[in-house]
Amino acid sequence: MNKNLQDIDKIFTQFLKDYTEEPPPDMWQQIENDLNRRDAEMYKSKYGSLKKTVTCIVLTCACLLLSGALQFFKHNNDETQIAYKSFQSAKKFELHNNKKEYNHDKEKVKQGNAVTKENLNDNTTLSKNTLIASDKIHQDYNQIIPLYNTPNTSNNTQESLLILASGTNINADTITSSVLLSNVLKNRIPLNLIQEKSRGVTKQTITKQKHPFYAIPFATIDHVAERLQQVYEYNNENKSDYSGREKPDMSYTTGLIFEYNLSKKYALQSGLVLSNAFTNVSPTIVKAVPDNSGLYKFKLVTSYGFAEIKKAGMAQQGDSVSIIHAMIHLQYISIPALMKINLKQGKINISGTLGAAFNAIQKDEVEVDYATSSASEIESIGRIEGVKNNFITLMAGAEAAYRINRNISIGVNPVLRYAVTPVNKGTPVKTYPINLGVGASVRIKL
Amino acid sequence: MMAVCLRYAKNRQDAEEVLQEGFIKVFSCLHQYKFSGTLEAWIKRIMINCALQRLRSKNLLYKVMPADNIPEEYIDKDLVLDNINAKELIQLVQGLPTVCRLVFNLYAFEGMKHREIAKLLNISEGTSKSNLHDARVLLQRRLHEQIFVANINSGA
Repeated sequence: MNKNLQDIDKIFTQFLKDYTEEPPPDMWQQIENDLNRRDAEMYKSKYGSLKKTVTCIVLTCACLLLSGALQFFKHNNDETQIAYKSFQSAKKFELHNNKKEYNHDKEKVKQGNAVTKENLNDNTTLSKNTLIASDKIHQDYNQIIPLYNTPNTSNNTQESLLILASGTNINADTITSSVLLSNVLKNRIPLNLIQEKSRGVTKQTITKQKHPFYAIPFATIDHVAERLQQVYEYNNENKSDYSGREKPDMSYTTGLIFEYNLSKKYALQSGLVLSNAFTNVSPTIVKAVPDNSGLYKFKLVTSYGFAEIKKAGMAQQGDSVSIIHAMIHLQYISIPALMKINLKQGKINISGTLGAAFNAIQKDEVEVDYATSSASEIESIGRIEGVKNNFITLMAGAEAAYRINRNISIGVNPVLRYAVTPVNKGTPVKTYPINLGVGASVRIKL
Repeated sequence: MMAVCLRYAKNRQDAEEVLQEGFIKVFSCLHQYKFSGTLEAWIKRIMINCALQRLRSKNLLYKVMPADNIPEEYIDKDLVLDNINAKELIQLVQGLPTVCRLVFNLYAFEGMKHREIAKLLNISEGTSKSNLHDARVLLQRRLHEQIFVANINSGA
């Protein structure tokens, strides 16, 4: 009996060894669909994390830029106020100084006892009265110039002497240098220490004056063209059919750009830009086509991708809907990074910009006005199959700005944005938008 | 591969799902194929693993129906050849309790030893042997019934 039991194995292996069974006919289709879905999920998760990383980096950069701008603006204000207050207190101190002391020091200066080429060097500690005395004789250039021209006199001492001599002609430099004067007056500290301190202050003040921030709100009216690249033929249509069917409508862009001047000639620009691109689709017939799962659907094929018309109901093979009109709306936020080159400066500034922008698509929708055999309807399709989440453009622009006053100028700026990556994927054509806009901007000094 | 899946699954629907899942794994992991054996053997191995994985996830692997009280019946090989076709044999295998079916398939068709089966299914060798015995007894009994029914039908 046991041997017979073991024969069971042989019976089954012998009978079933070469046995084959056909899988269901749609098995391969299902496997293909499943593989596509998994691929899509994989790419989604892969690029999802990339997208999150890029967003984090961009936000961090924006925060740093903003905080830097605020810090700079605040610091600039503080420094100016400190300098101004120091100057005021120096003046006040000077006015209330003892007249006797003043006359005494004045005499000493005149006699060359207090400030001479021998004793006025980097290690000299000047008394407040001597300095005030020197300040008071500023009108008499003959007293100062010889000292200024002395070969042993350091640059900073020269600078101080000039300030003392410059008297009432107060400009920004004098205010800054009055910090130095004030410190000397109050603290009786050696000039060489003041020199080091004041060099930083002066340098910083000069830098601030040369590197201001600007905010530039702007708006442009755009003409959107598309560069199409054929990937595969769909329904016997090629890229010329799409470009023939789709005509650009009025599009617009608004945004806020921040500008940071690197030098008189070069500046960096970045900010946030919102663009809305509209495209009209001419009347056409959409035939029901089967998708991967074998279901028939009405899909309007555009250069951006497939827009499924759902309200037309269940489609059968051979069904069609007539598209009376359709409008494609693409909305995206751009973060540009631009280099600005000032070509001509004056009352009218002429400049050029060059750079790139990262564009995140916010909205891709199609409004379709269509007619079936029974009725006509308007459907807003909120998602175009195939449209990616982002794309990259190169940017080039020019600006002619008229300076109204020291802080505000208005300008006209044509901008060209040329996509270097397509806005879609897996579609019959790859679409690269080309956006030419002309608009106006206001440049406000922060 | 469909036949392999049918042997390991409880019914045709399960077998189709295993086949689909298996081929997705095949295409996803094609780069892992080392060319050390035939591609067919590699794919078959994936199918078996998928079937096992599926049963593990459904917690069906450890439910055992004892076959102690089933009497053993003698089966004539020629009788089987005359009365039963391959499809019916597959159905008989599918009708076995899960663990018995797996052990029988792995032992009889894949030529695995009890030690290997025990390791793969996370059972003891003794359990593997016992399950194989149960599977054989059940198949023998059901074959006998099938032949009996077939004979009656042909007699009528």
